[in-house]
Amino acid sequence: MKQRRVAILIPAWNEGTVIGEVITSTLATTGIETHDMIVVDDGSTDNTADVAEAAGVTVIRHILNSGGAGGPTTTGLAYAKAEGYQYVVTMDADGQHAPADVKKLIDAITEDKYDLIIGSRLIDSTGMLWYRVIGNKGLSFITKVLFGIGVTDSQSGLRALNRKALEQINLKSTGYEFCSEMLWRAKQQNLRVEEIPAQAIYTDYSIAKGQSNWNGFNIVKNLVKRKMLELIDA
Amino acid sequence: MLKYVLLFLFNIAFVIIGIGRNLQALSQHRVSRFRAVTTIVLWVLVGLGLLFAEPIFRYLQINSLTDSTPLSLYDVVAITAGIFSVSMIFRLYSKVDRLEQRLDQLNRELSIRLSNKP
Repeated sequence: MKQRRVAILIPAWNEGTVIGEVITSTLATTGIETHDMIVVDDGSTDNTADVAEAAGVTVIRHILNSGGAGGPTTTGLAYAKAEGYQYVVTMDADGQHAPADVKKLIDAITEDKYDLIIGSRLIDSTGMLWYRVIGNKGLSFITKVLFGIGVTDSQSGLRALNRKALEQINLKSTGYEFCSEMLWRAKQQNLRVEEIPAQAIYTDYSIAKGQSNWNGFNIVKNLVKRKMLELIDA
Repeated sequence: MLKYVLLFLFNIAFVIIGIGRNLQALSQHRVSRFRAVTTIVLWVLVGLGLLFAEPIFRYLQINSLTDSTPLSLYDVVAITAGIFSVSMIFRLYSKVDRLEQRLDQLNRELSIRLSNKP
């Protein structure tokens, strides 16, 4: 029988206030074992790693802060690959993803129809803040222009990867542009990509903590840089 | 005539390096065949442009397609210096990026090794 070990990966930076609740509710809804949840703490200055450790999940503490979610995500994926996980679901640490959507992604990826599945907040953007809708749609459009990948929500942190995607996607970005880069690498490797609708939950905390639209400029700048370096490095 | 020869001699090294790096990348399977061939064709076009710079300029002048003055020795030096600077900037940019990648990798490997498994 095929081994189906699923890991949930949470990249986190200074999320001590909410990460305990995110871990508890996600574990309860998905039925995943505590050791199969991986929290990668990106050099937080608060008690994020301690809270996660107290919850009994696997915690990887970054020695240096990577300056974005790409670094801890890459670390978590490398760890999951080394540990032999067959599927990995990544989610944000600020509580913006509903645990039920994480479960939905696990169910979808374990069907083995796709290599990479994105939990899109923009298929049905009801409840999403209007300026976040504009920002995310803009970045999805730029991702399409730069890499020719047409997805509705290129910046969603809720994703599921199978073993093939884990082995073939090699991320170079450490910042928030890793979301678009992951899609680009998936396209380069001819992986099967799909989107399923996911809810975005906004609280005062996640609004304050979340990315501003201004950070979109940094994402675009870094994506252009990555694309250029790929051409130069030929 | 001599100025065009100098232009060719000063800049042909960039073309040879460009083609060489692409062939190396292709042999190491770092790029697709299509991309390597496209880039090599572009470099060959640049090389041909350098080789036939004088006839191209004359052709453009005869057909009133350019008003620019003939190449001066200063132009040759300035063009070469410009190309050299740009290529150095690209190489340094690329090296810094690679260094950054290695630092990230080190951060990743060390963090995983030092992590506490429950």
